[in-house]
Amino acid sequence: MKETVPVSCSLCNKASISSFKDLSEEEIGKLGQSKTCSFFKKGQILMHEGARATGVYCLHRGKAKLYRMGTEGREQIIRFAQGGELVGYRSVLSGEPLSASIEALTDTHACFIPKALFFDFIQSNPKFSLEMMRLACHELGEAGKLITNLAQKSVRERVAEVLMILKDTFGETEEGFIDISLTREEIASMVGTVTETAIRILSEFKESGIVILSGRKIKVVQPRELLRIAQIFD
Amino acid sequence: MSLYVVWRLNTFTTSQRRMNSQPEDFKPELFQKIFGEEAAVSLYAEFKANSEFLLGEEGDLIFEKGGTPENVFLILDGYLRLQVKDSSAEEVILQFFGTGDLAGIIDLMQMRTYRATAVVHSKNIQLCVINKKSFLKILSKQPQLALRLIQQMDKDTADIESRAAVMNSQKVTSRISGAIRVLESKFGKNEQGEINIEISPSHIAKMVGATRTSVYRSMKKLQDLGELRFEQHKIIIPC
Repeated sequence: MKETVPVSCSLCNKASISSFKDLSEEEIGKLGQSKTCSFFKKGQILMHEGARATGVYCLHRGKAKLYRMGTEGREQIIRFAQGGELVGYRSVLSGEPLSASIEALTDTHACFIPKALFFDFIQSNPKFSLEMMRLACHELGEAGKLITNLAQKSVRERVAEVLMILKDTFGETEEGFIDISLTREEIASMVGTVTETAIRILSEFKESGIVILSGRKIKVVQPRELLRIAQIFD
Repeated sequence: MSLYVVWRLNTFTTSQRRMNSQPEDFKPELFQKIFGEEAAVSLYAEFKANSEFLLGEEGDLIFEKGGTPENVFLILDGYLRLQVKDSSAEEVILQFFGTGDLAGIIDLMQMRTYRATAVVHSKNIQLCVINKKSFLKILSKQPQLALRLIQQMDKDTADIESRAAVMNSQKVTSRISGAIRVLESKFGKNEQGEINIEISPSHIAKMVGATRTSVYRSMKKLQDLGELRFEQHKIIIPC
């Protein structure tokens, strides 16, 4: 991690989608004075599972994964975060240790906002607290989906769903590949299976012409077929 | 039950939403316990002015998947479980709610239809029902409530994620241990080591995505290892 020159929040290209969009000019000013910005190389950890968060990170550029270790030391990816998103806020608000580790998947720029200031905003700005509540609701909803899928769907269905989620979350490059590079092991840990099974199922999808694989890059050729396999109807 | 006017939840329709009394134990102290001293008095007043009170029985549906969220439900006494069915009609229990929890917020806040069904889990339940408009009004005036709810949701999310991490395991015993740890962390246990919620092996099967037979077998294994005891729908963790 290397400290960098802070990016002004009012000039940030993620300002309109960030959770801080509802702060007043005065509050944005306070944020600018208190935050510190850092650069994380791909693979570096922003926060560790089990640690106490002393503040939150707002990602400016880059992508990160949030994961926790299950039994048998297997990693379970809980979600991804990218530019404009907050990470670590749940631990700050609950006072509980971090329930997941946060690791940079690409070179990442992130701004750190101290806990006290974050709490101030929650308690003094109802729009901001409502926004945080929406975010918490979203995460709880997603966790519910994750557990339902793990309990009910076959590994093949889950791989199909994960590919659609990645495509929707990160979009596509000009060449049509999903705009995130994940190892097969990371895909397996999102799906909740062993790497060999994830590799086998991806190869089956490739053989059937549903996806194109090029190294770590994945292009979804038949999204409807993937939706059908994943049993996503809504 | 101390409700003066009650009606069964399964007959709870729009035309019947009126109330002329409140439970005897609906007092500021209850709010103090749930929301903390600072916010209790004003929140009690807001809820008192805007709520209706319901009594439910085991198996009653509080809201159903696909329905439009119009209310949130503060549990005054009892337990709810949130469950979904997949295409093969198998049920999965997502989470349990107990006294002091607010149910039905997620879909209401995300302005979408209910993604799961809430069923009364305990023999009886007392609920304080508040409509969406009043709830959002209270929320905009009381950041303390938002904070309390975010904290509750954080705990619930962490519990579900913890179960997800364990579900990654192929072993049903590991999954069951994970699910039981979540129940213990949410509801606590009494002096005898009993977790403060009654739950059947069939419900545990729905929490971990396994058949009842393999849950019975694995629970027996855990019992033989001395990790837990299961008596009359009570899980006992030896101290």
